[in-house]
Amino acid sequence: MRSYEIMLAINPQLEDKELDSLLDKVKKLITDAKGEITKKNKWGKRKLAYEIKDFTEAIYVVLNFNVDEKIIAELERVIKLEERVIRYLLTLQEKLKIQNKDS
Amino acid sequence: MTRFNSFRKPIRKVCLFCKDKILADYKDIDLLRKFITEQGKMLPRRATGNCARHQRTLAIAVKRAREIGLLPYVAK
Repeated sequence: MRSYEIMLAINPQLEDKELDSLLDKVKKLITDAKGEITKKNKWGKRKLAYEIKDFTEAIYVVLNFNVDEKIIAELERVIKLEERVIRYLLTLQEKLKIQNKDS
Repeated sequence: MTRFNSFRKPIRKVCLFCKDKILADYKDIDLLRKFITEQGKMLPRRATGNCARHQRTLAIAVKRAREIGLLPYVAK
């Protein structure tokens, strides 16, 4: 088990319902692999610093989760194929003595 | 001449990250913006006063923020 953090930049034109279904899909992947989601943070719409796939803004969502490292390859594959996700960033969270400020 | 001025800031004796006991995080854009120029380039250590270790973690944080579209690679 390892602790990860994923940030998703999602198509801003998505309806709330579609957004939820997309997030549920990602969550299901994690929970199905006996992982657990520790934190979920919706940033909402934000301007992109530069255009990505012709989008100027995106909906940002941050998920923190603990999951077995074997499932990560599959998770990344699914997210890469998911067209509603403009860009994602998966980072491994080390156990830090000094806690980061929450933003 | 903003670029010139930013180099002329009084040199901090202590690294901000050591002082406040925080680590650079790619999500904390407001903090990261203090360490980049208006063009989006990173400031050198001699301008930020950071210690080598924290300057490295900062560089990683800035690069991650660029990847996900929170910070620009180049800003004009």
